[in-house]
Amino acid sequence: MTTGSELSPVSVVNASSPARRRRRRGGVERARARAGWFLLAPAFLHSIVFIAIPAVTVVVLSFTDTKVIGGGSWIGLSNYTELLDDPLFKKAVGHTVLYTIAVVPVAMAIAILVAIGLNQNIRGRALFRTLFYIPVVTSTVAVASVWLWIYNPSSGLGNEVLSFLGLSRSGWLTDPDSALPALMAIGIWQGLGAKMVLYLAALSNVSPELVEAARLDGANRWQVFWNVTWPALAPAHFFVLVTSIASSFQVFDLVFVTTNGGPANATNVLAFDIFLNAFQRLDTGYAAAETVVMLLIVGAFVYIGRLTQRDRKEV
Amino acid sequence: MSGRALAAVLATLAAVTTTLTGCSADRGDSDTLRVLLANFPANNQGQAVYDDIVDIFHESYPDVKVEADFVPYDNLNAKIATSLAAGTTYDVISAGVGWIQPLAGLGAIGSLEDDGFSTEQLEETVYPSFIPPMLQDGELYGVPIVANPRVLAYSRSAFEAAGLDPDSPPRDFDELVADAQALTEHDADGNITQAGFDFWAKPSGYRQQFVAFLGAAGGTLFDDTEPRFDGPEGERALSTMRDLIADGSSQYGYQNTAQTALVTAGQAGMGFASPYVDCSEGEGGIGADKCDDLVYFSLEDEQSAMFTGGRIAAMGAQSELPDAAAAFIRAMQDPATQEAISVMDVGVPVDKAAADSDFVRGNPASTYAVDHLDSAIMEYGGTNFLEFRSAGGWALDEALLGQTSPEDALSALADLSRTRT
Amino acid sequence: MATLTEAPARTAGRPSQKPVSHRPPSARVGRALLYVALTVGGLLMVAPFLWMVLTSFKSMSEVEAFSWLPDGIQWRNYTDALDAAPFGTYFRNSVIVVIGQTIPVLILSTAAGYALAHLPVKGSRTFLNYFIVLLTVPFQVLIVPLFHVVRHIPLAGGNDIFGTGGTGWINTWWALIIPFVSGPMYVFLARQFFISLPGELADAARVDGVSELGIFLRIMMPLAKPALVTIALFNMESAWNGFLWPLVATASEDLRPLQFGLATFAQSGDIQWPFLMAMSAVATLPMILLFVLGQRYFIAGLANTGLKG
Repeated sequence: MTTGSELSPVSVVNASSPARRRRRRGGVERARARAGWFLLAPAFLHSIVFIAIPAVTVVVLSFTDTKVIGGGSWIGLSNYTELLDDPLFKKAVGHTVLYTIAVVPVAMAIAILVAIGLNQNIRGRALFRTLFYIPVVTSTVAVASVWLWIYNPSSGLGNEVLSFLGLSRSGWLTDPDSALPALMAIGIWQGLGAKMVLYLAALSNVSPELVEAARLDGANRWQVFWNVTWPALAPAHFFVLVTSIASSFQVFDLVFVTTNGGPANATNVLAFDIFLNAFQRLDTGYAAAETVVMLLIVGAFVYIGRLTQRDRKEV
Repeated sequence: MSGRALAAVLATLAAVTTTLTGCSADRGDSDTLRVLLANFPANNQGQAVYDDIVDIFHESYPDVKVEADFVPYDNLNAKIATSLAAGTTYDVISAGVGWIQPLAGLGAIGSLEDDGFSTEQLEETVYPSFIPPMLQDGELYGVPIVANPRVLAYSRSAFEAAGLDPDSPPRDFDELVADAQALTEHDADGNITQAGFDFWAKPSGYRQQFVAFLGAAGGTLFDDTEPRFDGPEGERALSTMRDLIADGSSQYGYQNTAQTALVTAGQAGMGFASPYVDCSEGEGGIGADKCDDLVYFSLEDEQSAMFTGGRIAAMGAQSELPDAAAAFIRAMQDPATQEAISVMDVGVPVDKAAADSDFVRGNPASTYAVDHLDSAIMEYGGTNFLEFRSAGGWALDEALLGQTSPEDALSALADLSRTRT
Repeated sequence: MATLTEAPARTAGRPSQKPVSHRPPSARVGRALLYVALTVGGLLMVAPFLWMVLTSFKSMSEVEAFSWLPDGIQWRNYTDALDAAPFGTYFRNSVIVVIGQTIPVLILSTAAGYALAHLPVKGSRTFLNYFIVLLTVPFQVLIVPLFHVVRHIPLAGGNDIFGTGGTGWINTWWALIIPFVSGPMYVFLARQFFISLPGELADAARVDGVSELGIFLRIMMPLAKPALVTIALFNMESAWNGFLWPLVATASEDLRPLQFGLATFAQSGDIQWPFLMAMSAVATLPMILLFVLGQRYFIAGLANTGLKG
C-alpha cells in the first residue's frame, strides 16, 4: 500500500508546504511562530496546572508508602518490586493487554466500514448515523441490563443463538473462560459510535476533487478508496488508534456494572485493579505505582501503533 | 521557550505548595457542622430524613449551621477515600459498619468516649453483636443507627411442590443442600426455571454470604485484626456454598434484571432476601398471597446466624465542634430518625426498644429480622478488613467455581488479609 | 476569497456522491446488502436504548423478569421520578457545566491543535507527544491530586497568594468548569484534523496580508467544522455524564449535576428501575438531539468548500 499511495494523485495533498515555507521571509516566519505560541499557550498552561501537575504527583506518590491519609515516606522502588510479585496485578495486565489487542483493531475496522457506509448518499442516513451513535449516550446501567440479559446462561439471547447455530451453550459472564471475550464484545459495541463519528468527520475532509480526478483517470471504486480515501484518513487513524488504546486501558465502568472483575478475577483489568487499590484498600502509593506501570505499557502500545504509521508523513 | 521556562517555574511552585499544604485541613466557618452522609439519596426522601435530623439537632444547637454532603452508594468508597486523601474534615461521618475500624485506624474518626458516649450505655440499648465492630483498642469510635440484615426466606408452595415439609426449614448445611436440590426445577432444555437456592449475589459478590455461612458454621471472621476464617468452620461454610453451585441448585452470579431477591420475586425456592417486603397489591408490592407464601428463617448449622450490615455514625477526629457533633450523632440515634433511615436503607432500627414498634411489626420480613438480631453476624476486622473486603470477592470465587479447594482459597485470602497491609 | 483558488480547483461540482451514471446490477445488490447490514447493525446498537425507553413505562414488578414490551404505559413514572428529587436544579447545573466547558474547549483546544499542525512552533512534535501522554492518564488516579490543585488556587475561596488558608475553588462552579476548559484529547483531535487540511489556503491568505490570527479564525476554523462538531459532541457528552468529579469537588446540592440525581434511584439493593430508566431517557434525549443536529456537518467535501470561489 505504501507504493500505491506514492504513485497516486493524492501525494499532491501530502507534499504540503515545508519546503515552500522555508522560502518565505524570516519576518513572516517569526510572526507565524509568535502566533503559534500565542495559540498554543492557553491549552498548554491549562494542561500543566490541571493534568501534568496532578500526574507528576501520582508519579511521586508511587515511590512512597502513602496510605489514603497523607504522610507517606519515601520507599524507593518497593511498590514496583511488590508489583512484580503481585499475581493480581500480573493477571490484570494480561487481561488488559488481551482486551486491547482484541478490541482495538476489530472496533476500528468495523467503525471504518460503518462510517464509509454512512458517508454514502443513502436514504435514512441521518437515522442510521444516530442509531450507531446511540450507545455512546445510553446510560451504562441500561447497557449492562440488556447485555446481562443477552448473556443470561439460562434464558438469554446469546445461548439461543448458539443453540440455533448448533453450538454448545456458554456460561458467558459467569464462566471464567468466556467472561473476558464476552466483555470484549460489549466493549467493541460500546466504542463503535465514537469511532464512527471520528471517521465521519475525517471523511468530510477527503477532497471530492481528488476522488473525481481519480475516477476520471479510470480508477475503480476500490482503487479510489485505497489510493485516495485511505491515505487521507491517516491522521484520523492515528488519533482513533491512540484514543482507543488509551480507553481500552481505562475500561472500568463496564467491568464495574457487569462483572465486578469476576468471576475469579477473569475480568479484573488494570483500571479496575487500580480502583480497588486506591479506593477499597486505600493504598494510594501502590495504586500510583500501578498507574505508572500502566502508562508505560500504554506508551509502548502507542509507540508500536505509531510505527505502523511510519510510511506516512505528518500523521 | 519562555513559555516552557514559565511553565517549569509554575509547576515547581504548585508542586511545592501542594506538598507543603497537603496535610493541612480546610475548615469553613467555625460554627458550621460538616456532615458526610454516605449512601444517602439526594432525592426528596433523603432530604426530608435529613431535615428531620437537623430539626432535632437544632433543638440543642439552634445557632450551628449544618452542611451535609450526600454520597450515593456506588461511589461511596471513592468519595470517602478522596475526602480522606484531600484532608477534608467532617465533624460527623455516617457510613457502613465496616468503616469504623479502618477509619479509626487511619485516624480519621475519633473516640466518642470523651463526648458522653460509652460502651456500657450502648450495651443497654442495642444487641450485643453490634458492640465489637464499634470498638478500636477497646474504645468506642462509633454508634450503630440502623441494621441491614439479610434474612433467608423460602416459598411454602415451592416446598410443598417439591415434597418437602413446609413447616421445617433446613436445620443444617446438609439439609440445606438437599432441600435446595429438591427445589430446583428445570425446563425440557435443562434451563433452570426455579433456582433451589439464591445467594442474591453478582459474580464476585459472595463475600457477605460467606460471612453468613461462616457464622452459621460457628466460625469467626477476625479475632481483632487476625484472620480466623480459614479454619475448619470456614472450610465447611465455603464448601457448602460451592456444593450449592456445583450441583446446579444455584446459578453462579445469576440475578434477575431488577436485581431483586429471587425468592421474593418467585424465581427461587429459597434464598437470601431483604428485611423488608411490600405485601401490598399495588405498585411495587408482591401481594398478600405471595407474602403469606414466604417463610423466613436463618442459616443454621452449628448455630443460627443472620448476616447483618448497618449504618453507623462517628465523629471526625479533627472536629472543632465535638459537642455539636455529639448532639448530631444523638439526633441520628433518635427513634424517629432510626425509623426514617430504616425505610430509606431497607433496614431495621438497632434500638432494642424499637422491636415492638408498628414499623417493625407491620412487616413480616422486618419482624423476623428484628426478632433474630441476637444472632446477627457482622463483618469487620480492623484495617485488615479492607483487604478482606477487596480480595474476598475473587478469592471466594476460585473455590465456588471449583478452581481451587475451599481450604486453599481461604488460606490464600487469609494471607492477603494479613500481609498486604 | 476568489483568489484562493490555487489548489486542485477542478470544479468537480457539489459533494457529488450521486453518480448519474447508470448503475450496474452488482452495485444495486451492494446497495441492498448495505441497507441490510446497516439495519441489523443499527438494531443491535439501539437495543439497550429501546429497552431503557420501554422499561421507563413499566411498573416496578414488571422489571424482575426480562421483557421488552410493558404491560401498560405508566406515564406516571416520568412525573413521579421528576418529583422525587430536585431535577430542575440538576438539569440547570448540568447545562451550565456543559456550556461553560464546551465553548472554551472549542476555542482553546482547536487553537493549540492548529498551532501544532500548521505553525512553526519549536518542538511541536514534543508538544504533541506531551498531549498524547496526558490523555492516557486515567482520570480516577488524577482525582485526588487535582482536588489539591483546585483547593490551592491562589486568592480564591479565602486562599492567600500561596494558595493556602481557604478552600480555593472547591464547592464552586469554577471547580466544575475550569479544569475542563481544554483537554489533551481535543488538542490532539484538532491537530490531526488540521494537519490534513492543505496549507496552501493559509499561504494564499498570507500573501493577501491576512494576519495569522485572522487565518486561524476566518479561514481554518470554518474549514474545521466537522472537527469542531466532533469535539463539541464528545465534550458535551462527557460533561453531561460527569459524575465522580462533581461528587468529589462539590458538597452542595446547588452545584451537583444530573447524574447525581439519577444515582438516587440506584441505592443499594433497591434500584427503582422504572424511575431510573425514565430519567435516563430524559437525560439522553438532549444528547441525541445534539447529535442529530451535529451529524449534518459530516458531509463529504464540506471541508474543502473554501477552495471554490
